[in-house]
Amino acid sequence: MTPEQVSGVFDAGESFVENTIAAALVVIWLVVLALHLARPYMLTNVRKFTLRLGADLWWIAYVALRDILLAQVFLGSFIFFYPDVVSGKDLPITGCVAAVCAFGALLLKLTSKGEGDMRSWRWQSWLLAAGALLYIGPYILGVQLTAIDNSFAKQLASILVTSQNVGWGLWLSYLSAVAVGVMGLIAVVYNLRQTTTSRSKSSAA
Amino acid sequence: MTADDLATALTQGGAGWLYLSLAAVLPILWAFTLMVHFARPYVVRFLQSLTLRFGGDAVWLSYILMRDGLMLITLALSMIFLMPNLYIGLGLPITAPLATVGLFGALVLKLTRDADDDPIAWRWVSIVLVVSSVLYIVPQIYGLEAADQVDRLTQFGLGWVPGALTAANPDAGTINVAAWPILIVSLGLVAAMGAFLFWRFMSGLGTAQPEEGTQPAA
Repeated sequence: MTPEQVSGVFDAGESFVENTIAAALVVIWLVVLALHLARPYMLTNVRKFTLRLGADLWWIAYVALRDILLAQVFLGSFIFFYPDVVSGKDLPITGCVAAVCAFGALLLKLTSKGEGDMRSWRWQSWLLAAGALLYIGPYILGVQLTAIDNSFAKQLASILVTSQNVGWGLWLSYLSAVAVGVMGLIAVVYNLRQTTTSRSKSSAA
Repeated sequence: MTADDLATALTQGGAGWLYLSLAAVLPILWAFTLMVHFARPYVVRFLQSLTLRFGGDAVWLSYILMRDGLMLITLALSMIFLMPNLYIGLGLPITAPLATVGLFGALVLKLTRDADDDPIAWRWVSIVLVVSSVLYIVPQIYGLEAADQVDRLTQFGLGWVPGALTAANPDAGTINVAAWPILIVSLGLVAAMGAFLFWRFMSGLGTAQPEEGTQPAA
């Protein structure tokens, strides 16, 4: 074994981790979308409880699972903002745009009037559906076609896989990072304004 | 390659891989820390919708535990940026030690002021966290994680960016001129804040503690 082969072992380990994250994100996106759409079912069950404690716990468990998984989708998608990873690994080309959709849904949750804000809920649903489509579509029709020896499959992969379409992949990654940065700034300003508002309310009281 | 050489190569390679993986995971942890910190209005709103105090307490407890625990874990992992062998030896993000200082500063603010009920303290913690996260995430992603993109970036006149954003280039054997000053200033600031905390703790021993609030401010 040579020293180059030793570093190759660790490079392979890194690839394995990144490819596993990319594969796991397909499942997490599906679960997030399913939990989001399961809201009416959860509400029906909440009304069936005879104890308020059970109803509260059920609702807390649902909201916590739904929101934490959505946050995990965005955090897992962080690899799509790393230029070396985007250009070197087989990743879905619109994975970074899907991350922007997930972050947008989180921002809407933060700035909405609460669980009953149906306008915000509708926008969140559209963003989650778009995110899931933008992630799962190119993953199945691009990343999962790289080992298929067929001209159509190769053509699809050359469009939908970041390592085979580096130019587009990097531009989308940079633009998505800017979009997330802007939305993050909106979240910070919203938070700072909230403290100003609550402070002036308490001084008025 | 002898057995000893192989063992050395594996352990050294493994250590380097571990540290660089930590550096790569930290932007995610930073993002998570910020997300949980700035989710406060959402959590407070949700808390107010619960019908039992038990549920409210459970949610608030979990939220605080996750928010502060994440900050602490991020700080613990960020301590590697204060170690010269790692920061300069591996060429980690140039402003990473300053980000560690900022995170420590935010935790010091939390310890010395009630950032949940004092809006000014909360605002300071938020601003320090945002600035520190930018100081870490930007050089990590566009420095370390863009090291292979120099040729592509040169086409836009930005080929110097990855080099300027990392503490050193171990392959070329060069060290960024700003690396040592940043590291020394950061070490000094961390030591000063640690000493301040210790002094405050010692001087507060035996004096009456302020009454603790149980309800978060909206």
